[in-house]
Amino acid sequence: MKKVITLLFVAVLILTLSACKGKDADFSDGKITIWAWDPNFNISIMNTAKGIYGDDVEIIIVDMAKGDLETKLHASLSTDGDLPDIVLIEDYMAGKYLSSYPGKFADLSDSIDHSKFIPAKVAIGTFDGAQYSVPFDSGVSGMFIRNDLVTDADVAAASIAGVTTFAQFVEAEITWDEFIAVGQAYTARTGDAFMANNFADGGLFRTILNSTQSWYTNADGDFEFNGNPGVEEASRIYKEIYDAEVMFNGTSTEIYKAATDWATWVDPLGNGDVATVTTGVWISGTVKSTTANSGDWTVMKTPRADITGAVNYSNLGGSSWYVLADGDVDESVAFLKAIYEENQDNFYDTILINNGAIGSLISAASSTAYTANDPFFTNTAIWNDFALWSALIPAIDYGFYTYEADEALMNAMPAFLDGTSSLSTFLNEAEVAAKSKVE
Amino acid sequence: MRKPNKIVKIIKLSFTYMFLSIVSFICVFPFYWMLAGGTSTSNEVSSGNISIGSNLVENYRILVEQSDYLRAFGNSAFVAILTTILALFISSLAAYGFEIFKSKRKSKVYGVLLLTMMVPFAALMIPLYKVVIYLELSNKLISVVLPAVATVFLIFFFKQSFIKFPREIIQSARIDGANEFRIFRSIVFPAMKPTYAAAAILTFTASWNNFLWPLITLSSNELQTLPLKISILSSSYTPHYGVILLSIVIATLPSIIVFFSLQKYFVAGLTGAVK
Repeated sequence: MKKVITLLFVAVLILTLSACKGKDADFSDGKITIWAWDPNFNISIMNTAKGIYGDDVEIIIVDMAKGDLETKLHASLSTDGDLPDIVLIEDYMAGKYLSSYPGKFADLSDSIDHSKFIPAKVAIGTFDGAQYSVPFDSGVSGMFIRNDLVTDADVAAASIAGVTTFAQFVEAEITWDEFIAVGQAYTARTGDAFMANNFADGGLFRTILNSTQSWYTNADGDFEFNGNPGVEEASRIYKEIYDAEVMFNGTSTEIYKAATDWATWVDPLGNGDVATVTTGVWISGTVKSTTANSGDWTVMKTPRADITGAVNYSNLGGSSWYVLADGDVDESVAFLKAIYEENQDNFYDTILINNGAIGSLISAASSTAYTANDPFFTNTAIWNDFALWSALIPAIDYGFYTYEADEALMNAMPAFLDGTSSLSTFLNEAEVAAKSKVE
Repeated sequence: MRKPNKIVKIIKLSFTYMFLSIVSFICVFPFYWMLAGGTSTSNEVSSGNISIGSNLVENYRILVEQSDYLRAFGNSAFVAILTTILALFISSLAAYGFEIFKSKRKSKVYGVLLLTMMVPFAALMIPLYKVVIYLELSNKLISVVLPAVATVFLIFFFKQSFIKFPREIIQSARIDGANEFRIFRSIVFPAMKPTYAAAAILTFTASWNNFLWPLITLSSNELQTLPLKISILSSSYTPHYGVILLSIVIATLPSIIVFFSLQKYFVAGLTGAVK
């Protein structure tokens, strides 16, 4: 027993000592530490940037889950804990960080030429007149549609002015009501869903809302749902889609496939269970992952809400790089400037081809990779289209609490969809719930 | 009269077994699904396929090549083993002191300690992180170990089983000239093995599955533990469900091995080591 105890002690001592002289923190001079999420997208893209920039500076990219990164970033910002030099922040969250932690992020107004980036992205990283972001991937939206499934007859049945064929339809700027009309014709003919939607997820809602040039808040930054034309219209469209049932073989059939999570939303795209998806450009990688569907997909502009000021351009998601004020600001800015602002070694072409990422640098859109036709999408220059559309996305101040608003609305939504709440009751309830989340 | 009784008994038994079978199925099925998913492709998992697939080797290759999984496994093993050894040693010594020695303020101190069990970790996290930064221990594996080596729960757990330990043995050892540490080491420890085994299982599993604290205190890829890696795998725009489930299967194995190897002590430890 004595031997066992002694051995135990020695083991513990060795382990403890070896742990104590373990690796030092990564945050020292001559290194740039970057926090980001998604190894297949953001991390992969930053590795490309690292490869282009060369070995003069050691660049360490730390991979975390998105939610984990946000938790850790909040903890570190509020305790002066370990922070990276550069961090990726989702656009919807940017306002919250910039307002909650003044002085923690480096002001890049003078070091980065923001006029080279699309205005909607620059607006997101602007706080109190100063620009903090290096704009990164665009969440520019579009409507992906199956040209082998939707027919001229489906389009003609919708009675859209000046549009009688599928070819005219994909070039047209349609409204959501016209979208629903084509969907009804399609489902009535095939029995299949026209789109998939998770009515508990605010993704499509935010896409519609962004295109109306409004957001969840009023000019003072306070939540305003009731009386907010954008929110009211997006709610109306959600309900129109929910209620748009048609008769197929004698049974009432919905034009949507109800999704409950990411997988049930994405899977129908590969197997032909749905004919369209309207979302951010980042879905293109998933759409293209079913190679058997090559040549069957086309992309058209996002449907428009039926109110004054609404456009056929919108955005869902997207993120930007931010430099921490306590980090190695000069090195970090030099790196981001060379790659993201000056497009060193045609960086944007590489990430478009490798990752399907549309950047926010305006001049990148005229390069060869962007103007090339993509055989998967019926040999059209969809990347050029997306780049042009991204410059036309309405610039929105997302405020500080997008997800809180989103959650409150989606929680109250079922009662509105099934008709037990009126529009104003639903929006009032959601507004009260949202306000209670942030007070 | 005997026959109907027998029939009633059989019916009762079959209901019992039926109920137990259903409950067992509900308990075991998620584990089976996890195992089956770990051998399947992402499409098979999301289409609800529950049979054993043929993609195990490919899933393992992707897991090891793309996520530095084995290093994370090593980090988790280091943290969990070191935490278990130190926590058992320190907490059992503390419990021994609280139970065996006489002191007026002992119960008050113990009461305060027990009260701290009511504070959730989320409330302690930020102050604890400040301490770790002050001591320049952040982003080191030892920063995950140290806060877990003295836990009030373990002290309480050991103290409860020391209550039953016969004081006469300790007193006679003292008369024989043994010092307190010798008594603890040579007399108390050997007799309390089942308690240690039970505490080891609880501590190891808690440390192995710990997520929030390593997330806050570890900041480099090389130091990430398994729960952090699994979280990263799950959060990609294009998650590979087969690989995620395989990573969870592998991450579950050490806890299962530790449990089964110490199982015979476990029940005895929970019900009291000294009879």
